[in-house]
Amino acid sequence: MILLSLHIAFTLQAQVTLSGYINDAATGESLIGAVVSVKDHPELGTYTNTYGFYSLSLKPGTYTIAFSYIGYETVTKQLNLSTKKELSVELKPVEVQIKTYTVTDKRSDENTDGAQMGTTNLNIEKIKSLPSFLGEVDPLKTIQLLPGIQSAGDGNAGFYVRGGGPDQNLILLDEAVIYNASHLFGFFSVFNPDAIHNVKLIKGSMPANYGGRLASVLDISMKEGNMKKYSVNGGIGLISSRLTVQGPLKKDTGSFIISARRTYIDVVAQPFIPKTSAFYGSGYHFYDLNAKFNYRLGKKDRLFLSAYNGRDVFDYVNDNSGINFKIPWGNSTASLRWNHLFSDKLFLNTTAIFSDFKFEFAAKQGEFDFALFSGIKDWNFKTDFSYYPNIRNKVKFGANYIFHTFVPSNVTAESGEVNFDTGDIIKYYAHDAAVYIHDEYDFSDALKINAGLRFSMFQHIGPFTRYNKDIPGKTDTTSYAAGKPVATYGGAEPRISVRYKLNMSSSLKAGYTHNYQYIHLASLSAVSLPTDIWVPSTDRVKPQIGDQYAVGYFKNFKNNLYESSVEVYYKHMKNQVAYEEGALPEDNIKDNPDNHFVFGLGRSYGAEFFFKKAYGKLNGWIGYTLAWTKRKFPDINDGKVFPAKFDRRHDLSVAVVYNLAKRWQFSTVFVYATGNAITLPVSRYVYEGNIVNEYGPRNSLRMPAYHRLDFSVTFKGKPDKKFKSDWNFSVFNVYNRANPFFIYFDNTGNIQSGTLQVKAKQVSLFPVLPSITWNFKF
Amino acid sequence: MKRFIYIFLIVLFGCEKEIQIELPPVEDKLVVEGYIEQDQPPYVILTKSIGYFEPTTTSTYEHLFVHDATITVTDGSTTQALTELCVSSLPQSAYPIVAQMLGVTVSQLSANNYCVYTVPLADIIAGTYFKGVVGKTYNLSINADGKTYTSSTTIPPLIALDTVWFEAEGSDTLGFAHGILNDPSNQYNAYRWITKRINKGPDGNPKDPNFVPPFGSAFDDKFFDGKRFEFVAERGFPPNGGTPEPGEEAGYFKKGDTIVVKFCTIDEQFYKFLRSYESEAYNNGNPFAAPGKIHTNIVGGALGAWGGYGVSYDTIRSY
Repeated sequence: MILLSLHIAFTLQAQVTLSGYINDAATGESLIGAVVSVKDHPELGTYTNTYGFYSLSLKPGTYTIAFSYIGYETVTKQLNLSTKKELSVELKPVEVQIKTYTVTDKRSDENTDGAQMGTTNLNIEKIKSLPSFLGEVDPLKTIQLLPGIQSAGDGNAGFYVRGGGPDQNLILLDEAVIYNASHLFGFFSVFNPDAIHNVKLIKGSMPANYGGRLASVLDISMKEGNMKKYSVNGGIGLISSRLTVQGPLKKDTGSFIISARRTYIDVVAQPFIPKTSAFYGSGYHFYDLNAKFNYRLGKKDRLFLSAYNGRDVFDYVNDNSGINFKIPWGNSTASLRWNHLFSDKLFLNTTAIFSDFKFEFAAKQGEFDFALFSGIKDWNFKTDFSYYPNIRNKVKFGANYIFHTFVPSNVTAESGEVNFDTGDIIKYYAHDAAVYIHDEYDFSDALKINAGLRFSMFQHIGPFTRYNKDIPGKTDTTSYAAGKPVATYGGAEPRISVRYKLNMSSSLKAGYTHNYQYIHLASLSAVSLPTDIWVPSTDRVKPQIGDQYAVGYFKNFKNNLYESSVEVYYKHMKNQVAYEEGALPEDNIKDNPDNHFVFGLGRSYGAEFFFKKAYGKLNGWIGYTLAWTKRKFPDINDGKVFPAKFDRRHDLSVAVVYNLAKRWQFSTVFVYATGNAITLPVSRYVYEGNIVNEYGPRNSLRMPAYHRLDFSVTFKGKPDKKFKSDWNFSVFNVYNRANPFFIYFDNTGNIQSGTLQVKAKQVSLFPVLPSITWNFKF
Repeated sequence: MKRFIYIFLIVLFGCEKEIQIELPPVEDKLVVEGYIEQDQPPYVILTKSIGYFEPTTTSTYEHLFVHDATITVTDGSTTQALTELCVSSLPQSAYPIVAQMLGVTVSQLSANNYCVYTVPLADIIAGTYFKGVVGKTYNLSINADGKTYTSSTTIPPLIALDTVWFEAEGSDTLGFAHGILNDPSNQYNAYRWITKRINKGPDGNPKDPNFVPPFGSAFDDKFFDGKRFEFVAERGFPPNGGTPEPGEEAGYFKKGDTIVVKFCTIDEQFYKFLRSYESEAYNNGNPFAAPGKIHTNIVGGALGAWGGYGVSYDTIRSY
């Protein structure tokens, strides 16, 4: 109905539609977010969707249309449009950006023109140009350099957006949810840069086609594979090696890409560990495997199949203590997508997705065996329409259904013949469904409105067993039969954002978002770990509800060469989830983990400043965030308001890339952040002769500030050769700042003899770390 | 496992340095360390907590003791007022128990004037004192510095281990203690395992002056109600400010040790205190672990616990 009425309203004006795809001329890859603009009509224009498709409806006439994309040469076409026309364009990548751009070129004005706030697209080549940690290029680390996005410090890949927790970010890889985006407890992310095409981050008003998280969307697209020719590329670094093979299945019709990455410290070290060593057989590695196939089934249909599998594996053997254990964990995802073009104005994408995260721990000491398993598995079906009724309107609508299976914590333990009673495996099953409609509408040249509405529903269903421990010393259980509802939640999620252009180079924007989040990540410890447990909304846990208000001023200078913005936000979050004070890991066993949760409110507000030089020999950005993030839980900190662990007053990031001549590229990154809020002991007492710590108010103290400078040089091989290679030399933490990882108090001597000495010790992870990486391509 | 990860990270990359931290001033809290065992009189030590960086001298510990409190223990029918006995006036027979509570050796005990609340000295000498009885519940009431604190604990029925032995691990001489526990079914049970090596060390004194609990010394039957199973116990470290004991024997028993095992039954609230207390002492700020909020069974704003022990002894001679 909505569709129909929109259609009637806009067919009153006679219009013709220009539509098609924009691809990379060298590889045939779709270009996401490429700009289509009409010369002398700055108010007209559009951009490509995730599949490189665009549709532009114009009055009949003669136009000069420009197709542009950052890092690519702009293509301009003169067209006489009298009937609808299909025009697919291939853009050539610019090898070196020095000569191509002069100040008078027309460049993207997305910063001031779009209505969406807080959205950033990062091309993987941009990410690769910045310094990397131990040579591992990491998209998650790069987005943390943007204002409003905070890193949690060294050794932690979780990121915090505008005061939201790490579980409040929706991380998608080709539309499949990645539940744990890090390797090695957060040192590296699971995204192999060679397999990644584009990274889109939405921290502000997320469009209605996204849902289920309060803070942000990180939408990562994998490369599609070269449509033109076979190619192999890879790299050898200190930590891992990478290899990617891609090529056409049929030229310009279908292609494939397979990309692998593996760390090899275990393989390299193994020959040097004598077989007689007590630790023989211990080791650690991780790997990532990405594969994608796509095929055009004619002009109107295209199929994509993407798959990802990654694992961390930790083996520990110690013959001296008789202990050995193995900890594998990781994600597996697969998504099958079908693009269909009903007409030049109606684009459909239908997706079936499988997503799985598992964490396992198996230990053995003598007769004693222990195993822990936790995980989450989703079957997800989505259908998304893009409808372009006329030049002023872009409509998205669709539906989504997910069936979740959560295993928060399943433990088995046995000693010899004896099995310990760790309870039945309690799984949580849930239906998660949503429908949405979203419209980008140009009221006038100055006023643009993005408005969306999402209806979501979540139902926790049986089989399920709830432990009731309300009466001390006595445990009852309540059981629900298969398929029987345990709890049902739902609601409307309106989102709106408005852009008002003050003049050609500046605009005001405002946005409001109302979000529901039905699944929760609860952490027992102060840092996020793969052992953190995902739990759905249940009879005890209500959905998190977020409201975000944001206002911004955006201004470009020198014909969009420089972009700047100031955004102010205020966020209110209900039903935030945390473990009760004093909860211990074994509380999850033979019990429902959510029996140990407590609930409270979150509030955050702040201002973000951004200044960017988008092009040229020297380009980069400066981002600064001033922010407050608070929590209030009746059952934590005596009910008093406390700062969130990642409450950060100041957060500054500077990223600069400098291209010297054709073959040298220099880049540097500087970050400064207020220290994390921590809870420390404030007094001590003696019990059984031991010193015992008594902690102060939650997060009432601060670690020292975090700051760091990184530097990188890339020397590229001759560009004309068939076999291309480049060397990258990176230095992490150039001035060897000892950044705090955690703080503890070290006691020596004892109080009874008066020799007790207490020292505060700060543990830091990474000193200055140089690394070298060699990349090749042929 | 989390501790292992943390050690792994530090070994791999980490570096440590001393820093200065300003802690906010805090009010002292009363700390209760009270026990009642079967056939033993109740013992209560009252101390105060102190600011973290307050300097310590030989007299600091003595100054932490809270004097002149009024304490009573009642089993429901009999109420016993406890008197404050300082070391100089304690009978020799109470020395080992008090030394154990304070974490000092008997000789260190004699050198300082520590104080403990227990039954009147005359009763001890007469041998007819208020003593713990298996199965009974004891209510504690403390009035100190104008405030009242209360608590309650039970001495649960005795459960002895079926058998205990020593087993070498990896090397020929170092190993762990093993035990077989037969847990009664359909009832809540919690336990504490504490050991003491009584054979002489190189200095001619017994290797352990007091009983020492290993990490995880307290456990309940949540996961093994009604089962009979074997468990393994490391050797605990004596209290010495948290510095690990040096040498290859750290954490191990050695062939030739004579180990006295004190196996105690405890009630649920005391178990919860011991579990969180051990967990906090073990983790000490490790960010991978849960923050250490220690449970207490004392009502009224004090720290510590009042605990009943149902004690069974075994001896392992590892030859």
